[in-house]
Amino acid sequence: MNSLDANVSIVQLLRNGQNDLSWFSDNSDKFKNEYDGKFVAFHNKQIIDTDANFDSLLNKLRKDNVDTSSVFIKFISKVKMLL
Amino acid sequence: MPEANKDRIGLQFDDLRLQLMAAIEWKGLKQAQLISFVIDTGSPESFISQAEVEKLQIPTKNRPVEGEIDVGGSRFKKIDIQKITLHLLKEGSSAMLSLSTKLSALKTTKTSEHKKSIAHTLPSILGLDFLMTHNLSLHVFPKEKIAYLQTEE
Repeated sequence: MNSLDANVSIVQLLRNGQNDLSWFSDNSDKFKNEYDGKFVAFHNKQIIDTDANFDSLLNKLRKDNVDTSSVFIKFISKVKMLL
Repeated sequence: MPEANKDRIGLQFDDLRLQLMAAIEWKGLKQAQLISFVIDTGSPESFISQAEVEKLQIPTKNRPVEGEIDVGGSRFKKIDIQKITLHLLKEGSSAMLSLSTKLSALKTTKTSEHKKSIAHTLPSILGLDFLMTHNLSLHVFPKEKIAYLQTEE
């Protein structure tokens, strides 16, 4: 892949990522009810898998040959976290 | 409209946190990978979370430990990782801002499954140090849910 193609590819990756994050944020209330206390993997506006344990979720994704380079994994909780 | 010669990088609101979407690359990586950061001006340091380090398989073996840090009530080792490039999407264009930067990777010092699980819930954070190093200003209009970083001369 030449440099220009690589840049176009990264721009598209970023746009897709922003779309996914917007979708996740727009549905956060619904997800808190469904997946409270769980790690959720999502991509292309779809939940791929969930697990209460991060390592287990990552292992499941890798076992299913999911390309994790563009998959998001977020922890969902009704309890707010302060950093 | 952005000021002349200044680029804007859009931020997203996620549960009243400011999120920055980036594509990350490092030497030896075949293709860029997505990573999201919380912009936290209350943090003097920036780092990649343990969860992201594991998901992205960022090499940390045999890398020097820079010290320890407390985040979210939990203690972590700060691991010095190789220099990375963050690609950020400029608003209103198909162009990117590419920043070569050094971030620490976090690794929990806890051994219990429960504490490790808590460590995995923490996000990656870009603090004030990142904004200063890369000469970025932060602009937030909460009521309109508009936020962006802007390059400064």
